[in-house]
Amino acid sequence: MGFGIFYWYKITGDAPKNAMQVEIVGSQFKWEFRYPGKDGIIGKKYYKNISGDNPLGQIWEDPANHDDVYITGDAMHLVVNKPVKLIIGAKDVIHDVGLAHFRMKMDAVPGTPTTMWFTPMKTTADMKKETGNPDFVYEISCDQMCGKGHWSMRGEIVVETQEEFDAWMAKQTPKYYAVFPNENPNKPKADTTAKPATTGAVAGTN
Amino acid sequence: MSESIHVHPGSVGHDVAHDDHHHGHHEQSFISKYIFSQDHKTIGKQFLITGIIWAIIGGLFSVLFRLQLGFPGQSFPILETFFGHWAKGGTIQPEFYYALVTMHGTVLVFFVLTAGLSGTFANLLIPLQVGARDMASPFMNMLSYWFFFMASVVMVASLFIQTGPASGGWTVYPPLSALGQASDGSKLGMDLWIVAMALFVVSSLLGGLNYIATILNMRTKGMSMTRLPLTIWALFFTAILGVLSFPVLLSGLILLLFDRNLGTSFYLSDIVVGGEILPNEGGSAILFQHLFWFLGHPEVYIILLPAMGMVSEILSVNSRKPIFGYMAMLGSLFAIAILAFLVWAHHMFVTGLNPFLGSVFVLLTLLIAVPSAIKVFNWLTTLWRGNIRLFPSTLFAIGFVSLFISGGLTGIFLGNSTIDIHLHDTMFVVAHFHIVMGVASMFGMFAGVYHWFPKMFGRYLNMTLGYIHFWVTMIGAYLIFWPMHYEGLAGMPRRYLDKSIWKSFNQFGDLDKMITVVSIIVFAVQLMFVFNFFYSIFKGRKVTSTNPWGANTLEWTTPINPGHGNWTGEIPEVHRWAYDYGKDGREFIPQTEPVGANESKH
Repeated sequence: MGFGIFYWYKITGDAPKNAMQVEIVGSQFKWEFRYPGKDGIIGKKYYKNISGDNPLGQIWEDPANHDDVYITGDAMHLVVNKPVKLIIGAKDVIHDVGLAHFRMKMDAVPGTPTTMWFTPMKTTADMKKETGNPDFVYEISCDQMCGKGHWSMRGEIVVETQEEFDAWMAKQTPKYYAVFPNENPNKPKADTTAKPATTGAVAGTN
Repeated sequence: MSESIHVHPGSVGHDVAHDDHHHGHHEQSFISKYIFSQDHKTIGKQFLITGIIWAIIGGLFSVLFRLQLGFPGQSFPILETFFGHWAKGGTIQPEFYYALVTMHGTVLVFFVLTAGLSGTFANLLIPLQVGARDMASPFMNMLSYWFFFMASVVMVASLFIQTGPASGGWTVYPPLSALGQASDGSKLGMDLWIVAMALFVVSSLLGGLNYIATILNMRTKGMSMTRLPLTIWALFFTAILGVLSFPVLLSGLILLLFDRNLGTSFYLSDIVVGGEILPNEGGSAILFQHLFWFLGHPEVYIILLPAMGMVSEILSVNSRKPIFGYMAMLGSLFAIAILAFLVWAHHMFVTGLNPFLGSVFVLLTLLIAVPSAIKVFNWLTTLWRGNIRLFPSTLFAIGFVSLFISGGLTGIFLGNSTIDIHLHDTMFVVAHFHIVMGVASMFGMFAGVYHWFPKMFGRYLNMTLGYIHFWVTMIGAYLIFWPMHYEGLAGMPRRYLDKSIWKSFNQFGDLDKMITVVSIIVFAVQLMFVFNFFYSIFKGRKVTSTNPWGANTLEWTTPINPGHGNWTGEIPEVHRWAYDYGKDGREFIPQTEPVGANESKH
């Protein structure tokens, strides 16, 4: 039991300083993600700002928001051996970020942000090799009853090397530029076409 | 007609089955005798029969959703015939599925295992075993049943409304249960659920206060607290748990009602549902979980303690041995009752609860293992080298002990917060609580029904059907719930009606089919028990002696079919504890027998 308590504190304690941060937000019946961008800070948000082109309710006056990358319809990308701290929220009802492969789980509660951190130690490619299953994929399940689509509220995680991650991240455009195309320094090609390019890559999240 | 307790002899000797019309001034109409009855025995039977009807409904729900789990996507056209658009094309729709699991949980936990179990046996046994003519307030007792009946009516009504009954899980966590936009089941169905539960709480309080008052004040001469049978002690603690915790549930539900209908924000904050931005800010969804589990955890002991008490009694009677460690049994009941109030947050380890608070609840939760282990040890040592009579009641009591051990051990896994992170809200939890609380308590209830049926109806249940009932249910229970542990260890979440889109949880298809087939068989055998029950009331073998099991407790000193008032003459006096079995060369010595001059001490 002492063993259990020791690890309990380790698991629920503060994330290491070098941890990357990713925000994950649940709503009926999908997961959305946000990366802090170059500044490493996830910008402030307020739920009343939520609208069609501001799905998380980011406060645009907060400069930390300007480089935040919003992801939906794609998997959450993580770097192998790099601790990650998830900032967990929900828009409508209580959900739960269930990561069966990482043996981790934390409720997503509207109005009360929660966190959880862990370190992925094997890339998705490693796991495909080890399990002998070419279809292997890290899955995000919703583990708290959230309505009629609860059973289908599925997300995916891709664990990859730093290089692969950087290459993936380089393709993303901050949401700020999608909303305010004129602010985008490399404006001409990235404004509206970037968004459809990142969606629809992974099916099953809706 | 106000039927106060008959205390004078002559008016109480009439047989229940043959109403005595010669006492003109005491003649009871059918209504006052069987419907608005104030006789605790009749009220107990009312609770039992209502509980049985609810159990059939709740069990049928589980068969329906097991069909979906075992054969996802397969069409059963008959379902569409009965349920229309809820089972469009013969497959169970998600809304229907979640309504079924929600109502299955609600019905079984509250209506069957709370009202049906402690309502039945507290009413039947408390006056009979403490030596009282009736409850402290027979009128309140009657009200208790009729509030339960009204709760049942409202809950049944909610099944038939257009948007369906509550479907956010039996724990009805807001915001899901607070927002009609989030789920059809959270529309009118949820309001009806709350109203039904409020009526249920009233019923439970009326009953519980009565049980406590009766046990404390109406024991017969010589019946000191430490001479009480363990059934009574268990029912006593059950009543105290209910009286202290049900009001908390009620307050939580009233706040929920306010949030739903009056625009308050107790549980609501920062919500955008279906594109609509709600104005509520500052509430806490977690608050409800604290209030709910402050009842919810004692509730599992409200369900389990009566079963424990009856099992103690039945094992002692049928192994012809004194209960091993009476005071230890009593102490462990007391410890469980106290700890029941101090562990509720172990249902909330992954809600974002303060980790320090979590670790406190881990310690308190694992402490429950101590009294539980004491009880198991004492049951086994009571059986040890006993002259065991394997009646169906004994088998069900032993089955209870088996299930309690199995389910208790998995509880140690879940009580460790660190392991709970992985197992929380998976099928492992489903397996755990069904075995330790659900099926175990059902076994206690079955044991009680087989044991006290002769007292209730003056006839025996059919033994052969009883044995079939036991073995199929016992083997079936393990076949159904044991494999769910494996699913849970693999991380399969609860309340997933179809796993085919998942890569991590879709490998258990055949196992789920097996579970479904077994659960249908087990359900059929329960119907056989129900047949046995009703058939035996009218056609069962008649009881010919007042004490068919050779038991020591007071209920077996009453006439075979006791009237209102229980004893025809004086209430018997008690001279000893209830467990003098196999003493001084005698098989049993009833509590009413004075201690002999040369009798050895126990």
